[in-house]
Amino acid sequence: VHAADPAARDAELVQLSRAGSREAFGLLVTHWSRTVRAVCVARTGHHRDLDDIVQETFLRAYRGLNRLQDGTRFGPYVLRIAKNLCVDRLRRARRSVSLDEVELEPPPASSHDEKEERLVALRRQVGRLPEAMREALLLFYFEDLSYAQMADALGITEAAVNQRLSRARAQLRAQLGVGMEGRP
Amino acid sequence: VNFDADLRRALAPLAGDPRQDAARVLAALPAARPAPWKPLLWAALGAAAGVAATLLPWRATPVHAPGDVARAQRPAPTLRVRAAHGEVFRGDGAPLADDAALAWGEPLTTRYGAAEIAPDPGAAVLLRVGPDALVVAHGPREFECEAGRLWIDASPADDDCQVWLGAHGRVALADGALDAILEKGALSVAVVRGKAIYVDEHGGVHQLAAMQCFARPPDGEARIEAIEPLARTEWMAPFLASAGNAAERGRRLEDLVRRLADPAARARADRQVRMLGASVCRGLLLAMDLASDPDHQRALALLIADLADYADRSILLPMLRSDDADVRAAMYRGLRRLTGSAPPSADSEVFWRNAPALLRMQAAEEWWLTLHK
Repeated sequence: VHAADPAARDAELVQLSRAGSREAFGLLVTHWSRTVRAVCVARTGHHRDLDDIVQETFLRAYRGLNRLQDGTRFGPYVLRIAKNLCVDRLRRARRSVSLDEVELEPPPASSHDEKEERLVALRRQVGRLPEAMREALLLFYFEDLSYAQMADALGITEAAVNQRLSRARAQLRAQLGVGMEGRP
Repeated sequence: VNFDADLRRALAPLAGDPRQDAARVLAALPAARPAPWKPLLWAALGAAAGVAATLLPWRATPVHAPGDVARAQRPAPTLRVRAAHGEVFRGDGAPLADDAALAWGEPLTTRYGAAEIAPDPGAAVLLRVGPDALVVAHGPREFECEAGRLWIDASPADDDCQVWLGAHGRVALADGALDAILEKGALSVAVVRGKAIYVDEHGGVHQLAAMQCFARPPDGEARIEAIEPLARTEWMAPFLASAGNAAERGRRLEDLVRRLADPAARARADRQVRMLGASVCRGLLLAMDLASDPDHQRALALLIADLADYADRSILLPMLRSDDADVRAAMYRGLRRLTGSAPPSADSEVFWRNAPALLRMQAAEEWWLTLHK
């Protein structure tokens, strides 16, 4: 119904969640979990606590739902919680908050071939990008968000989104020695 | 090598599964979401008692405990058939009657019949099953409708009310009422009160507001359309006539009386009032006193005259003195039907329409004395 207007969809789901609908909140999680995960992975890397951080983000969002005045802003609201939780986690781990490099390696796949090695190398290079570029890249490839949606989620302009993505891709190509056509 | 596709493939394992995330979060949600005033209450209690522990409900964990304990102390709910009209059966084909217990997971089927069922005690949900239906209750707020018609009215509780609709996905509502029809491959889910979320078999999410219906014909395109609530609730009229549903009957009558004033809705409203039977006569009389439009008053008077039973004759007698000839004629017909006689000099509709006021008053007096001898 609200495919064309995610903000209106979120507002209705927030309203239903406030009325006690767990189903509605489950849908909010479904709609936003990849974005939350992208933000968390960009900040803390891929690690075994990631599921817990994502879960805790939404639990905090749920508990504070009555304080969210504008339901259309659920996305930025939940992302702010996620970012704060990531900062807390990094502080607890006694690591710098502005992280220049994160480990993005997921659990190893059962088959490990040359192609997989290339993907591993690619992930490693994404992990070495500056955090802002990494975040833009993850949001874009996790969710296929439009520039406008990414701008809204990140609190930046669409031009800045475009710039971060372009620079991230260019830097990756340079690091991997890949040409513009994608060929080494 | 496509760099963009490689990048997408490389990052895909990090993206997680939103459905799994949702399942994990829902499993960890508190039993009931804290109301906005709760932080203030807890803070006040904390200050008064000087006990920091009162802030515990706001800790991240454990979020489950209070609700779970409360639930564990409640008696286990049972499923009860509150009313059964016509052919209503258990899964094994045995007939079901009023007040019968039904086991969780046991199918209930209807043919030319309908049933009203609710989990006890303290049911926060009421189900009505229409003709040619197959319905299973899996839990106090978890139901399945394989075929036929199902009405579900849910009050707020710890969990959403979930209804699986055969192969058509599921619908959830926290506080509201909906009418679902599964018939010959077609689906229709109409929300009459509150809001509902319908998730189709492909995972598509459709948020439905009150007076909206998700409709999908067997081979047609799904659409969301507006509904006429009277059309979706008419089939439940037999249940409203029972004593246990007096409050719902009162609300329905109020709605119907309002619609009787609307010429476009009058015919359907009139039919539905008649389905409620004699029990609504006193409510109609009250509405007649409050109505200012002569046409509306006349429509109400006709209903009273037609629906009244013998105990209501004292309602009809005073209205023989009405200034409205149609109302007097209707009351004459009603009293004649109830008592089987009338004063010989006044035993015709023509008399009650056209006779001089003095003669009509004398005849009304005579009739009153005859009935109260």
